Amino acid sequence: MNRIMVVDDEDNILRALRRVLSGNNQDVELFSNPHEALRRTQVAVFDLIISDYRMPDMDGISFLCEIKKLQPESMRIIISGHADMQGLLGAINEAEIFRFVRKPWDDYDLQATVEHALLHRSILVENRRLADQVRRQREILHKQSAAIQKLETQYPGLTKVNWGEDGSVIMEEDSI
Amino acid sequence: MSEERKTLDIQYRFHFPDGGSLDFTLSLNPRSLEQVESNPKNAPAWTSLAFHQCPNCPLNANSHPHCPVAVNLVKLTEECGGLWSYDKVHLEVTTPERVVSKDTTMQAGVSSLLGLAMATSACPHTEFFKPMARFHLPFASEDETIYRATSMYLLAQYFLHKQGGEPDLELDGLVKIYRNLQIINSALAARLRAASERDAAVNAVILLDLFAKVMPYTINDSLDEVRHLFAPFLAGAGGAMNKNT
Repeated sequence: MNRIMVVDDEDNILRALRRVLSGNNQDVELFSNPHEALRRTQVAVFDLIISDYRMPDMDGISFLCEIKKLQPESMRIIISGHADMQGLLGAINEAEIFRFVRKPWDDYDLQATVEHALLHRSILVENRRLADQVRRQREILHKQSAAIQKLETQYPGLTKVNWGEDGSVIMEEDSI
Repeated sequence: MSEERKTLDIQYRFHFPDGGSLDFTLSLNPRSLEQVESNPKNAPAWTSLAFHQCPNCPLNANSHPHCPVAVNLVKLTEECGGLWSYDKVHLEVTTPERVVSKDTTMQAGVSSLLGLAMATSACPHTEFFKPMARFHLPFASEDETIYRATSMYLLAQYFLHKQGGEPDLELDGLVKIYRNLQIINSALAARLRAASERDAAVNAVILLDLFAKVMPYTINDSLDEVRHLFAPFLAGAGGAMNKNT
């Protein structure tokens, strides 16, 4: 189940967004106050945060910058009817948003954008998991390699012994 | 003055916390229910039909150089284009029948006025809304809009049936009307972004668009939002009423 947070100061817009985004294995939480939304992120992890750009208490860029610090793996989308160029640049450079969605939105386009964002996040999370796995395997290999080197130093040639399956030492003709 | 020439006036008066106020009066022709003062002669460039023309617009720029909706919004954008959507306002709406007032935000007030201005324009896609403009309900909620629009659509089907047409009781036509309206709202928001410095007018379209968005969902859910209001009547399947009438 993907968890989506939506923040907008207008209740009717929150209701409309819930209608578009609910279902489809998506759990949607609505917040009309960005401070309340930030408090929620201290106890719950969200896959995607959608925020209005212009809100009376806190602007969308500042809000999403805070979210980025708290939950860096969450995808971030700004939704607005009237963003200026400076605001857009801030959204892209500071809050590192995934997409900017214009209001009024098209329901199908918005659903597609959200699916794309969630897919992008799952790929990022999977990439990170695989990278961690590779890192752990490298650490194991490094430790094994160090142990082999230590043995070789103590007993030269030991690591080059050809062991049989039953633990016997296999001697080749040349070495006899 | 003859009865024919009397206009049907609806006035919106915005009172601001600093003591200032703004007045908008829409004078409608009582028969056509279109605004009588739509004067495109000195209309700004953003009202040109070709500027962000709706993809579903049936009009031609040669015969209609200006968008009929945009022309109706020139004064509104001139006066409200510099206001923020969440600015507080006390709004008083005077219709021929009553005065309605409310403490609200600029975007909610402009949204109500904008809906009226669109319905009373010569846009072919908003013709259906003219009777709703005649019985204008300022600050209508989502449920009120669902109730009014579906009631009016079904009343229109009654008239259609009376003149020999095939009535649409599934409300498919109403879904189509609102889907077209969503397209108009998107294009109109693009126009208003070009015309307004601040966001009150654009956000008003966005709020208005929420009604257009909810209608297809509601119809798809068989109007569940308002169905319970009819429970007593439906329980008797209208029998008692039929016997009495």
